[in-house]
Amino acid sequence: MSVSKQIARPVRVAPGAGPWRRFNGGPAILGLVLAAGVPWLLMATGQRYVVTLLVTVLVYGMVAQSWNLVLGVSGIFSLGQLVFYATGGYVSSLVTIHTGLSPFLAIWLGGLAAALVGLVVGVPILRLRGIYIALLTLGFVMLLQNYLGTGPSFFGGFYGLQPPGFSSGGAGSVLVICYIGLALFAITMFAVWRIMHSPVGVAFLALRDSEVYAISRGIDPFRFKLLLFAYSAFFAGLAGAFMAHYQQSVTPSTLDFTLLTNLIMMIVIGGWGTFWGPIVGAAILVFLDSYVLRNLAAGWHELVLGALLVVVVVVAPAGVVPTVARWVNRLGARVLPEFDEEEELV
Amino acid sequence: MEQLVQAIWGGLVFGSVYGLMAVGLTLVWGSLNLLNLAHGAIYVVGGYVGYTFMVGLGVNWILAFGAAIVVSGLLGVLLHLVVVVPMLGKPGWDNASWIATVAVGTLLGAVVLLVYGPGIQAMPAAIRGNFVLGHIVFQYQEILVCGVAVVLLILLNGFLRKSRHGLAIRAVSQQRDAAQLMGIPVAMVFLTVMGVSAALAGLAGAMLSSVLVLNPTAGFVPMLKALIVTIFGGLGSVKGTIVAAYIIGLVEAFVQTFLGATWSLPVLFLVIIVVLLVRPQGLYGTPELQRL
Repeated sequence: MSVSKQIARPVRVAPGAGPWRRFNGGPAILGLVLAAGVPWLLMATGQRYVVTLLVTVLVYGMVAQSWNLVLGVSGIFSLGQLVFYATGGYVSSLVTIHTGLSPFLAIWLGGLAAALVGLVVGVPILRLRGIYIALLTLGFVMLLQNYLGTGPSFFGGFYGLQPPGFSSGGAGSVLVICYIGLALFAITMFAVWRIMHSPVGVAFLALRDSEVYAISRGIDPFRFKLLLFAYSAFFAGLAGAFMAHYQQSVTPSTLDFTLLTNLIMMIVIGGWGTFWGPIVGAAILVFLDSYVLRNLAAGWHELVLGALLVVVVVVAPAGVVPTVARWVNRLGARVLPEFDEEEELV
Repeated sequence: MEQLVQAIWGGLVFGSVYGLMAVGLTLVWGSLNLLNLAHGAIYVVGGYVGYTFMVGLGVNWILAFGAAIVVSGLLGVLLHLVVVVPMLGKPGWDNASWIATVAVGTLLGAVVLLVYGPGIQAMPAAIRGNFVLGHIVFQYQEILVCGVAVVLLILLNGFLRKSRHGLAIRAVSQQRDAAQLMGIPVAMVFLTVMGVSAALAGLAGAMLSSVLVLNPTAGFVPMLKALIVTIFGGLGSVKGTIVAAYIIGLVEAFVQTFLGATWSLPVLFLVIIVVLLVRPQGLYGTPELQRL
């Protein structure tokens, strides 16, 4: 009987004693239906470009959300999420190119491969602490980038691979891809929400906030962190695989430091360790990038981004989501859930 | 044999500069518990300041290096006052601090890009020429870099070991609360440490730019190597950092000589991965105490 099975036993507690929550399907499904209308409306009004931006938001939202599970919820300073993202992209591409499997199935293989890599990479990494993890995972990112570019020729060198796309092209194909992305996004978000608000998620929080106490209450830190690593890697891989087929290309530049800092910015600007943070952060950054910063000359772009991040971190270290929630609640009506500086999980 | 000696010489030169950069990182980590990822950007600023003085104003290299030290030291102080001080002691310091320095690094890189453009600037050597011993080439610039770095490291070590201020810095990095209770002005120590650390990075930038390359993103790789050195030597240990700097410099020089330049970072990362698995606290680091 595995640890997670034991924990997942139905526990009877007084309402409010258990910090985990049941999933309430109503609002989520309603929100999803509303969200599904948006790309259709945009296409109907000829805003094809905005739809492509939405797809980007969905993909980066998935990666940021899965990364946030490791960084924010569990406080493991891993910079290695892009390793899983790239693994998903490459595995899915290789499978579709060499076996002719449909991309719809191959992306799941990409996710599984990423989860496996997460398990393998997690074994040496998760025995270390704090800052050492950051350096080591960054090392893995660099090593993988180097290996993909200069390693065996079937990775396609620096030009990468050109996997087949989801559909045969045509005018409506962006809309189709957007809906596929939305479906994957919904699955990922549900999975992350589910684990965050389950006893397992509370165990992660406990490990983050007071490792010694968590261990003394019977949580095996290594096993839990490994489970988390693989779980989070799966969704990063899924996002990577989807992105590879959407762009019909995957290259070693997927592992660039720029993307890495951008994703961290999404998590930090949105709200470190909160559920909505990475989603809001991804949306803010992608739209800012293409509407405000695109028109700026090189250099100004980075200047504005860097300044924005400095201001957010210094003024509102908790991120946009918790800060805005506090402002709204201060206006009187406590409509939004209150975030605590210390425990930012709602 | 000649290749070997040439490689050892290169290792000593690069090791000295990595030592300069890594000591700054270590000091900041030891006293403030801050991983300063803007270090690479400060290195670049130092390089460009040196370039401006030597090429733009045509002054001699001593003044140019001095200017690089002063400007980047002031930059470090400014960074500390504007970004670090408001965050000190707030919840979430562990995460927010290093992310803020990433942002500062991006910002500084962008400023340099705007002022000087994205191209590579040709930084002249401080002293041109070389002499050949047997078949081994010794660039005067390399001898200068190595000499200045070694002298500075010795001075810094003496400062930390013998002077009152150095003692205060070491006290703060060992036991911050106790040091504060003993009447050490912790805020001033932080400021000094940030200034000195940034000044060293700037000097490293000014000295190494003519050997390596000078462009707005040139600081990233030296910073990574300094990070590797810091972790390898043991975070917070100055002696360990200096030893590790020379080991890493030599390893890198051998890899470049016998395997090729593309392999230097991957091999260094492999080395550090192995070291961390065997000895997580680095060469001279003390194992982290677990907070109950």
